[in-house]
Amino acid sequence: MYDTILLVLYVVSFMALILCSAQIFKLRRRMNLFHQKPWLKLKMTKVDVVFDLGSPSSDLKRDGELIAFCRLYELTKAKRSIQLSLFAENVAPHFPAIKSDLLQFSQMLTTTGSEAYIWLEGRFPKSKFIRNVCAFLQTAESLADPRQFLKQNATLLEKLSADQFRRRKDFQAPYLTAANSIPTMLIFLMVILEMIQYMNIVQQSIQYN
Amino acid sequence: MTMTAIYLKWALSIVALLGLFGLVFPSFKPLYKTSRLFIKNKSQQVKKSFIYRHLDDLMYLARGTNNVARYLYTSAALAVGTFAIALLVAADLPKPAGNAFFRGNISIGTTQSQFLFAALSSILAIVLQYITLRILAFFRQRKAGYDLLIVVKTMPQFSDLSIDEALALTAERVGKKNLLQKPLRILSYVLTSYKRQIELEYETQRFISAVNTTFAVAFISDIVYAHQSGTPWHESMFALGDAMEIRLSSILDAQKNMGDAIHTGLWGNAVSMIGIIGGIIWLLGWPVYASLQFRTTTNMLLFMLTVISILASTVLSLYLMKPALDYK
Repeated sequence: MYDTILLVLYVVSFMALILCSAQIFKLRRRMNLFHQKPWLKLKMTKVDVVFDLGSPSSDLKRDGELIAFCRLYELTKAKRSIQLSLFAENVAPHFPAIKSDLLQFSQMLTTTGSEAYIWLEGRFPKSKFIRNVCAFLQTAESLADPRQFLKQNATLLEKLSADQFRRRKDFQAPYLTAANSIPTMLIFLMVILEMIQYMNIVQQSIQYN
Repeated sequence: MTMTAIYLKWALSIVALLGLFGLVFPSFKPLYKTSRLFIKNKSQQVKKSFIYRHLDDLMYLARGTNNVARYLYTSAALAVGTFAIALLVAADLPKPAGNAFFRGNISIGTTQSQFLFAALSSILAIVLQYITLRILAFFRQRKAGYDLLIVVKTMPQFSDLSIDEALALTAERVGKKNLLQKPLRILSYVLTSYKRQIELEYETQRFISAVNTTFAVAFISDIVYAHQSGTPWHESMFALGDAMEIRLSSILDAQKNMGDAIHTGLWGNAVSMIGIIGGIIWLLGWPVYASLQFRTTTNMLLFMLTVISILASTVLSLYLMKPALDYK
């Protein structure tokens, strides 16, 4: 009787665990889907809206890829003349976190012109340097010979990307320090358990006359 | 009958069998040929499969004679060997009465549990091999980002040559220690011999996804532009090298905050473990400590967990030591 109850309890608890983890994975996958395909956000349910806050790590990743895109544009524009819309379309697959944004941006550049920059600003609401990036892209695209402008703005962009790197490191540092001190905590736990066990053994073997 | 007669009998029967084989074999020749073609077709199909491509991408930057077939043979040998050894070991293990999870169904020591143990350990061996491959591939990718800087700095030496010749000569110049030697040779070969645009595109995408930095995209775009327009390319390499140098110096500046976590992971944990456990041994004496540590279930489990987490934090701090040379 006791065994069967125990077995049923084990089975129920394992099933609950599996169901919970499956739900969490499903939600995460759905959130990733909405990040990759923003046009599907129209079909979001209430649950999805609650969870679509954008985790800080994904925001950092998107910001990093945006600044990398900007630097790549600067590097390429200084060497040869290219159109921003074509460049964004060609380069989009190398930046997976902002791929759909870049594709949409390049389409809007060809159809609506300067409204595209405003749309791109709206896509990064939490980013601190999106205004600078958009202004830089618009100016570099509108100038006939942008080499002088690119040279002047190189230091600004370098500062922005260094800031981004430092922000990411500051975000990671506490977690990594904690993760690296887990072994020491485990050692202490083990030693304390050993001492308690030793004390128990000694206590049992004492004979009170 | 003497021994020589027995050997003679065997030898004569082998000769007779060989003769029979020679008589019969020609009639099987078409079947043999078709089967060879069948195997060739199958192997080509396998090379297009997802798993083969995934493993090939992981080994793209590897030096030496590493390839997918070798990896698969090694993993098969590992699985078979681990299975056999675990089966033999499990036969000699002590046999307790029951198990908490499988009460009444399986008890340790039966042939069923023996096979289960062997199968689980062989699967674990394969998974560990794959994880090792992934970790090594990750660190190779990191190193390739730094090796690209050496390549970009070396290439302008050959600025009077066309881009494919310069790539081949650079691959020779940078030496075996550079992980990009093989990819550069492949790139140079593809640039000289491609027939369709898609071949060039496939190889360049492979290079970019192997190095996985913004600078790799810029490098490839410079190379393809120079190849297709025939313009001089050394100035673009100078600009790329300068950008990489500036980025490297700024990364090294920002890296100073992470020293605490890195040193804890690299040697702090191991030193604290040796110190604390040494103190315990000094306090209790070796035999008492050994029986407490290795003859009780909870302490043994905690010991294993500690050793594994120390190894994991060492890998983590190695990951932190060299950040990717990238704008992201």
